[in-house]
Amino acid sequence: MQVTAAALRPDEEVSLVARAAAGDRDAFAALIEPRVDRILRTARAILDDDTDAHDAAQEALVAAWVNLPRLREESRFDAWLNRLLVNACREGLRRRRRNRETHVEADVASADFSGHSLETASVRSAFGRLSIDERSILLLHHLHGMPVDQVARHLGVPVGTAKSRLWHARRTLERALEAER
Amino acid sequence: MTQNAARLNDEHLRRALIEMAGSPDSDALLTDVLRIVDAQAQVARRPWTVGRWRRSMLMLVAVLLVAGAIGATIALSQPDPEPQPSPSPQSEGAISVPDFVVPFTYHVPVGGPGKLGRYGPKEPAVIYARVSGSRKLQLFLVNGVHDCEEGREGMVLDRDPTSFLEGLHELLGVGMGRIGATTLGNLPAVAADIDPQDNTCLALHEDRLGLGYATKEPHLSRPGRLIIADAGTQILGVYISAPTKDELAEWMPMAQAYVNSFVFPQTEASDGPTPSAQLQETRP
Repeated sequence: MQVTAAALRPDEEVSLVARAAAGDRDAFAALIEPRVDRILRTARAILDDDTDAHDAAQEALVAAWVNLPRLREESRFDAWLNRLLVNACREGLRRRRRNRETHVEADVASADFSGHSLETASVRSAFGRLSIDERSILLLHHLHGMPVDQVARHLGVPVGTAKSRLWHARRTLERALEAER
Repeated sequence: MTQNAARLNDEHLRRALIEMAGSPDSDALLTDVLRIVDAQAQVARRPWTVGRWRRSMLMLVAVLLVAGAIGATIALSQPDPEPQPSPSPQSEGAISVPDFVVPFTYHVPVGGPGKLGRYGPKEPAVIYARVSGSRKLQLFLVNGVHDCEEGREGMVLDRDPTSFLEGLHELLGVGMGRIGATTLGNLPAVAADIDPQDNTCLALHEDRLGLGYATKEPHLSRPGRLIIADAGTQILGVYISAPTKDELAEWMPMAQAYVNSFVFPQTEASDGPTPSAQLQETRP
């Protein structure tokens, strides 16, 4: 499955980012509309909760609007937005722990997996043991179908670094899966 | 166990992640975000931000000026018969710091304020040089967690050096000039000048693993230069600062001489191991 961030040409994207950074609300809407579904599903998979995912995605998108004038390179919008989302998810997990709500790992351990296949239940449980960064890169590649060079652009890192991080995240997940068994 | 892990091929993983991501209501999210955006002001644009065309023109003018200056220098000056003395000769003998988070050695430059110090015998993550308590060089561990003000939850930034600096600016509002390549001792690094006049995050400090040394951390609230390098297992930072820009200009050569003398253990390339076959790009 290949999911592109947007159907716009790169120069149109850059133009939209520049207009949105100048306060054009409609440009911002056009910019985020093709990305909202990917952002929300990423947050949902990381946080394992619909409400928390909605809050984190909303926080990231509003932060993007507020801070867009500070973005140096319009072409790096996706990398920047991804970092905002990862930070918002991390903050969401912290809030959850602070509020003594159900911890992700505990949540996973006691979750009702009746609606999921056994395979998904195992992956879901192991996934909850990964860092937010590891979850994020696995989702970009395996859920959203981004090739490694696109993952690298989304993370704002060289392709080699993205490959390395992806490799490590995958290994960590496999080890966590072994531990689950 | 191994068989279970081995069974996790790409297709299984993808199917599991699709189930986990579910089908959330993205229309509701878009509506909520745009409603908030309608009532939410943006931060001020960076004062030195210029358009691409104007930026190109400024760069062209700068290049022409530099080229002219170089040409004039070549045309007018005689060859220098004597080699220029090293601006910062080093004292004899490398000094070892084995108990920093990344062990290293350095030299005290001639005329320098002496050996590097630390804030306390148990302080593992900040080393400093200080002149009269006002001009500072601080070498510290970067864990990516930063606080912007007291009582506010720390924000986690990307640990990649360039992304880290960009995050400081773009996410936390640290006033910062252009990011450029440099070295931190024997490590490749990136650096940016910090301009507190454009800083909306004056009380910025690092959390550094929550060790509770907040008052001893490098506050980026003075004119300075921030250098970030990937030391393999750790990300390291150096902040050279002074109370004013003039004092910083005076202090910078000496501080830079310290930095240039740092030698950290060489590690494998930060890109990590050769990716396995399963990570080969799968272009659509």
